[in-house]
Amino acid sequence: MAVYSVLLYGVPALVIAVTLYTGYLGFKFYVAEVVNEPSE
Amino acid sequence: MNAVGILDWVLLGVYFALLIIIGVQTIRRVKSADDFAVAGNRIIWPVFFGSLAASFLGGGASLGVAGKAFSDGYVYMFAFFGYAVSFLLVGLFVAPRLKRYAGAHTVGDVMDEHYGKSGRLLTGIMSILLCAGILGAQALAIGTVVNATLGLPQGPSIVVGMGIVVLYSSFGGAWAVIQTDMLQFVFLGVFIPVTLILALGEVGGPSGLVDSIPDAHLTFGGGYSAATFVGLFIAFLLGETLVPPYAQRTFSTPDSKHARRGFALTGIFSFLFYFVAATLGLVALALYPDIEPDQAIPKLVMALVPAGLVGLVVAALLAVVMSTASSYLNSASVVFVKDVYQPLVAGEISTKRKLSLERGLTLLVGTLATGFALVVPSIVDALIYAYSFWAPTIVIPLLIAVLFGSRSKPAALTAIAAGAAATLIWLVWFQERTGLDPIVVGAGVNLVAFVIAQAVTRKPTPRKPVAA
Repeated sequence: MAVYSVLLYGVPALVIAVTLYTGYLGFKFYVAEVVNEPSE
Repeated sequence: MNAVGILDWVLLGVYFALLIIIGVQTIRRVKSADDFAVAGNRIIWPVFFGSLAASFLGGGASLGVAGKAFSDGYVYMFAFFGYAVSFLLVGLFVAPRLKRYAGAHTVGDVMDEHYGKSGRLLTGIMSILLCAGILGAQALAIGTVVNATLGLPQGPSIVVGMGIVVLYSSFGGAWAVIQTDMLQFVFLGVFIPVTLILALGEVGGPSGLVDSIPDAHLTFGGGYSAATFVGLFIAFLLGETLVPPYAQRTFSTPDSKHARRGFALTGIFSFLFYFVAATLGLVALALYPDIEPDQAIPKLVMALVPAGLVGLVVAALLAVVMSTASSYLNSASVVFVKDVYQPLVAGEISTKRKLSLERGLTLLVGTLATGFALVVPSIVDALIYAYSFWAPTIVIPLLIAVLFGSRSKPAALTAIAAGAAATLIWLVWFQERTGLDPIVVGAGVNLVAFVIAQAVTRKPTPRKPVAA
């Protein structure tokens, strides 16, 4: 049962963590590339 | 069942407003066809990964996997892992090589480089049919999601959802599609797992779930025969390999390092996401065994997610569908201009004209897809068959070109024709009788035809003159 507990709670938690970190990097990129458009 | 409160509607409204704001803000980044098609090749790996994952993880990966896990168990998820394995392999071995094709926007650009104009044209036509079919299916899915969760009629839901997709895709091109994908990625990657954690609490935790469902639902093989499992796995492995939006997104990265990392990460993330979706299906089976399998996720959302959070979870479900729709819409217009219109028109098209054409086509294709989904959904059903033809026609010649550098035009054209014919024959006469997916048969015939035609038509290598 311990394996199921780790998988059933661990995998969604990992998905959320990866998503939030990627979202943070994506937001930084958005600000740099779209909001403050770099001069070519 | 939880009532949808004012806060939920406000949050849904905020989600739609953010999509439109991103669409408007990205307009000024689009100055050339390069910007419209591949965001000026400036997309770094985290953004490539988030955007690709959002496009790739559509209704099939969420509602579909949950529904099939509800009826068949984890075995369907294991077969569905074929998609994730495909992404991992393409990410490691193929995506970095695609960056060698300087200035490429579409799969047709690569096919033209190796197999000439006819290779480009055939790839372009297949790409457009595929994109149109998937786009129409996503339009229908918007109606289904809104109807199943909020109880609103499908027609107006499709018009509003697709209207927003068409709006931001037309003006902001790849910049808008990729940036809205990132927002949609955050919604689907946070709120769908949150729904699972809430649902696990309701079913009594992992032990409660394991005790409430049939043992076969938790095993690797489930009730599938080995042949059924392998057939499904191969069909999933090949089915979406380098379809136009994924290839186009790969071209939008600055170099092969970003392409490899982003593509392979999408594969790894997909394993995890499929597990979340399949487990949602199992929890739905434990709690509501009498519902239709396809209703697994909508039922959990509406029954278990507290008011206030429902709006965000419905936005996540819409994000799954809308991000896929916008990617295929953008690809359809870019492919039409580059692979069909441009080769047939003599002379160069100016940047301004190309951009106007791509914008106009996005508007036209999006409107047509919405119209067909509303009025003649049977056309969407027919176009969806194009999906079965992608792997058996284009994928093998494309992989052979990219990995081994083949330039055998007769081999590619023979393989495309043989693969298409085999797929059609299997689809019409044998699929129901055998249960074997036509993608498997078609791709096999395509590969054999390519190898034979290349061997038969190979010109002998001229011998080097021997020095006297």
